[in-house]
Amino acid sequence: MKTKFVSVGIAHNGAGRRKDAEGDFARKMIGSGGTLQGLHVINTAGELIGYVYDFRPESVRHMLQEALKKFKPVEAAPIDFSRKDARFVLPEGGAVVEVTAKILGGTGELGDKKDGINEKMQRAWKNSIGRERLWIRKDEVEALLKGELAPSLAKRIVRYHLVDNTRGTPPSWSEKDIKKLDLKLAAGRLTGSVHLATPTGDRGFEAELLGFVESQQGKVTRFDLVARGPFWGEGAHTPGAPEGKFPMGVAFKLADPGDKLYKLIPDAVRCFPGYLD
Amino acid sequence: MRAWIGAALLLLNDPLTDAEFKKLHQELQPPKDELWRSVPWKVSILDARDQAAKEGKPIFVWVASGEPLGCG
Repeated sequence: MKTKFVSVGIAHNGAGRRKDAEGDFARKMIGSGGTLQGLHVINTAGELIGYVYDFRPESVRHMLQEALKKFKPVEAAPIDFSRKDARFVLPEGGAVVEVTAKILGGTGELGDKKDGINEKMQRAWKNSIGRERLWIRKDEVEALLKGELAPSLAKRIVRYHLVDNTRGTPPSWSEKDIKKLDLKLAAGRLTGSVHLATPTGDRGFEAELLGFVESQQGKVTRFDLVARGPFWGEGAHTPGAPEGKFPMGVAFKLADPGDKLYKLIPDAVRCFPGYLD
Repeated sequence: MRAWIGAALLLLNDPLTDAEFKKLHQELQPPKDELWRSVPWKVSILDARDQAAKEGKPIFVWVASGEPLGCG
């Protein structure tokens, strides 16, 4: 994968929904293996050469080896990608923050099946880190440089990133779910607390927050934040939450523009229209 | 037992101290040496296509529900 292939990861419900040349090419190959998800090998014409929807190393290795035997380079006419679907583009002058979430306790003991794939899956679920990215608009960056936290940024952090994404794609919080949002920036310290809860009370998060914002020479150089508190409930795509209330931590850290994943699109962008509002 | 006490304390929800912030912020970072990060992933299928065309290589595409390189 490192040397014999050019490797890329896409969301069939992300890149596959783009209204631009990236979307057109993605849709050409999504589903060609028989399901929407999976590991594909294609040529530059978008033609399928190999496919497997099985992540066991031996299966993936076999598929890659067979694909290499079949592969022949084909003509690849240039594709004009000058016009991009604006929903999937980091706004100019914006900033990217990495967001990670973890359940800090209350996950209980592993099931009675020791060793084997079942235990490995359980252990993975109980220890997994949810990952996401926060996009900050240019005007919100400018506010941070002035020592202010734009209400729109506070709202985005709370609605789309104080979530349990450790087991899959989480639901966001609606405006109605925000019972309390108290987040302030003063002298470089972000402090506050939030109380989020669905109308039925089946899902919620009560978190205390502390963070630090620094800037130098007109650029934000630090955006670190931690939210910690009891979380409860689960979403349609995040089953398996611990019973009752469990401690959850969410951390924010300014992304490195030199990271090859810097331009990765937040999952929230594809899930929630109005994410950048 | 210690883990349960720790979990119970976290549910009390006092404001974070600077020391707790530092510990938690570090604890919540992904491991630095994850093997999958050693692959030179592209995040755009067209960027991958361009490079594959220049180098005469096939394209390995990991397709998921959600971004496979950075979510959930």
